[in-house]
Amino acid sequence: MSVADEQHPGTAPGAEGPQPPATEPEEYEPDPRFSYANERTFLAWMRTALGLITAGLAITQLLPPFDMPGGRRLIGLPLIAMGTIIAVVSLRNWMANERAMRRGLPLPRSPLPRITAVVVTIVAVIGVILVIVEGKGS
Amino acid sequence: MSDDDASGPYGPPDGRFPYGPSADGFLEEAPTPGLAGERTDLAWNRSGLALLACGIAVAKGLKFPIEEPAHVVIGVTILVLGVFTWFMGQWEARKRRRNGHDREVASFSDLAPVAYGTAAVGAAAFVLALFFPG
Repeated sequence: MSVADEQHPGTAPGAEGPQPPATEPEEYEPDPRFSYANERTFLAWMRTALGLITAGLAITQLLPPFDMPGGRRLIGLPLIAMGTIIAVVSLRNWMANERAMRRGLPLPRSPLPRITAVVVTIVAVIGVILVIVEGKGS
Repeated sequence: MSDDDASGPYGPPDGRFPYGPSADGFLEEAPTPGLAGERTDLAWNRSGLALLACGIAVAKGLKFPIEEPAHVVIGVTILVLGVFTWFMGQWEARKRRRNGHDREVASFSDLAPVAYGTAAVGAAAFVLALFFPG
């Protein structure tokens, strides 16, 4: 590809006329600081996943059972499942971010923060309800 | 992953660099990573330590009501994953220091074992928590 075919952020696509059908988009090394930040974000998600898995294991294995059968698993299993999903999806997010930076495209939006917030909120609400119900029963 | 081992010249071909503070979003000079590489090394260290702590907690703390010591197997697996993650962090730090510059970044094959290993631990934890609540 010639220099005139390059697409950078800030230049309108197709401004220089019709583009030839590109088999592979032009890529260049992004600012290494952004690649490192992307890598740290991935690692932070991995620690989040591990924390959720560990918390779910501790809830199901170490907590005294609730009166309600399956009460511990009700709040523990969603956390473990969320941690497992985060481990896989955050790797895909890292890859998508890296690719977008290499191609000068806007960073893709990820549903992962929202899903994590919703799941943790629901589990917390269920936990509060369980604790209140158990407190009344005893 | 051809995306991750692109080894072309640093920056776009017109000699400038993206996402800079200038009006059109480009830098005239190559940005220096500064302490970003060191922060990334520390993030790798934290991740490895978190896995080691989790592995010890699972191996020593959790008591599954099953005869075979499944929690020890899972705990030791997490410990191995933690040691692997720590060494992978050292590998990335070594790449960063190599050639006298700070521009080496992680590749997909570096991160995938950590991600899939954690996912496997999560899947095993899910099965154990579902069928063998303590």
